[in-house]
Amino acid sequence: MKRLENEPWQDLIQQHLDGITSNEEVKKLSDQLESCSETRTLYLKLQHLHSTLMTDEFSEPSKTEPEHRILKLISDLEQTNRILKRRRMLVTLAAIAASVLVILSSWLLWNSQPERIVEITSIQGAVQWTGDGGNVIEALKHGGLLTGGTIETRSVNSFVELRFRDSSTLSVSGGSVLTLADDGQKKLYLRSGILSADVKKQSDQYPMIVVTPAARLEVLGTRFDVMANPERSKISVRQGLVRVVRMSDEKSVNVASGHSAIASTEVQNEFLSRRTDQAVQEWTANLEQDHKQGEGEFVSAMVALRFEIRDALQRGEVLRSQIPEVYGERLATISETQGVLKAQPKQIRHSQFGNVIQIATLHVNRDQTNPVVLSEQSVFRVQGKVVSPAQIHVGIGAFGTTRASAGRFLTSRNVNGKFALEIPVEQFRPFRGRGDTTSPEGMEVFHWFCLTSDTNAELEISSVELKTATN
Amino acid sequence: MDTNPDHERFTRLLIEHEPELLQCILVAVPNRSDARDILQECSVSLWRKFNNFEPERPFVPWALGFVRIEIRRFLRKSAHRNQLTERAAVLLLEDHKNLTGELDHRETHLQDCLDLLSERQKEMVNGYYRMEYSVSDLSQQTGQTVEAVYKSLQRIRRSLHHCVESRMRGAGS
Repeated sequence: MKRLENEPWQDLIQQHLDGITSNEEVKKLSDQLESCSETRTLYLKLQHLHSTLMTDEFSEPSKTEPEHRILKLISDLEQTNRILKRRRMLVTLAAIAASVLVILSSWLLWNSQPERIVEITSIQGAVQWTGDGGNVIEALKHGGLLTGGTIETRSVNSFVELRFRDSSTLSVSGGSVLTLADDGQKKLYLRSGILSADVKKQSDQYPMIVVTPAARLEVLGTRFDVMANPERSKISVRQGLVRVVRMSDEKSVNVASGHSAIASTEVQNEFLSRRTDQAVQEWTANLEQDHKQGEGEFVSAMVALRFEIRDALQRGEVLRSQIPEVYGERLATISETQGVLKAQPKQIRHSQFGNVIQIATLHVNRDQTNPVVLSEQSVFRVQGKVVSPAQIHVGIGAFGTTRASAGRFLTSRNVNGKFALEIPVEQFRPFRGRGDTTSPEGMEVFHWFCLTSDTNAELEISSVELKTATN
Repeated sequence: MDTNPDHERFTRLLIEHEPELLQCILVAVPNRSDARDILQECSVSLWRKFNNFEPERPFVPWALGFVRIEIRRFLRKSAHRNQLTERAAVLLLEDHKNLTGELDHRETHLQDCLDLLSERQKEMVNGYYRMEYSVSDLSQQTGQTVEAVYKSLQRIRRSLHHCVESRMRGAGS
């Protein structure tokens, strides 16, 4: 019966695939496709027939033309980016070279003495270890013993805690990559992610060394957190003293208990340690400045409005002469800094959210050492938009200024169209702790993110604020 | 000669998976020239974000996220040019994802069904799809009216569709 009902649509679908339908016919077909899954299935079968018949297009792609085109594309893009990238590249290369030297020397020593140096004391989610000879193990268990190597917490909600023989402990969570070695001196390379450490007294001659792309830390006995990415590292010390060297210019600073410092590969400003009690409790995101590359695309309101006007002109909805009347007020009131942050696709693994999510991420108080600390009254105000009903997940990454370790916290909301959310901090729950009701109150927030696994939601964020509720 | 390993890896992945990405674009935007433009825009976005790509993971699901964004952007820009609505396109892309396995089977049957066409019908299919002749070109070549050529083409496609359908039902029973 369904097949017979769909027969009349066959010709129209074929005509659309041939590109000879009128505007009215396409509108009619669109309405039918939107309302009838059987017609969509028929459309997909006929469309597949079309594309398969274009055999040369699909099964025998030209071996040289696409390659040439893609290489030219890359070359063009590289040309435009080269000057901007050169300076950053030099700094990054220096940092990488230093890191590689540290790791290489550790690796060589470790290879000659493949003894087990750490025990897994807690583990959750997808965690991978790569050790001797590239040996990769994913089936890691609590109580397992590891030689030196690289541990990777592969999903956003994974976590592992390791204990050295001297009872010093380390933990890394969600999307972190840490290489570790111990040949009498503990050497760590945190390529990216979050590391929390509780380090027992080390020998003055052989302090623990922690290297990140932007900083080198010397640790004698202390508790501290490090958040690292390719551009910057933030170090917060909870107890003791850590000497931090900025890789880009070898400037150093001693970071004491209750203090933090930020080392960046790009910014050559003063390198200071600031007291954590100089904390602030409010923050307003600058979407253009604070967003993380690759996890959000900033579109300025002015640019968006220009596109809107252009499209309206093309569709014949307004005439050029009507632009001042229709858009004048909006054009006059838009400021240069206004805009939206559009979520972008990101691969994740072994997660409740599927393989690809749409995510927008913001650095909190980027390049400011004053920490943003969450209080009992803290409330996140988030405004944005989705084009279809979707569940979104709002999250934060926070350092443990008063408790043991850093981590990510999350809360979920169902939204549709434009939304304005007020989320009290107590509603955030640890990402890695199923059933754990700990809230991030008292912790320092270092990044904010919003994601959805609905790839069609077109999630965009127009404002994010952290405020203190007055009542 | 460019020896950047990222370039090489990106090029290899894009060339390998370009047909799948193009196939996905053609679902929502049937015009080949428009589809290639969208793929080009998409390639730029993919290259710009390639440092975020994890090499040990599949390329296509990651790339399709960008493809969907570019398709929607295109449909929004060209809403006046006889394109499907964005909503219809999004629903088709969703269904396409779930139908991929069945479509692979259909492709196998289609090859058998093509063998059943007459030589004249095969020539018409070859001219229209592989040589990219227009219906008007084919009309001049065959001496038939444009309407007659198009009707023949419709008949051939309908018979191929029915042939594949009956073979799928046969395989399923």
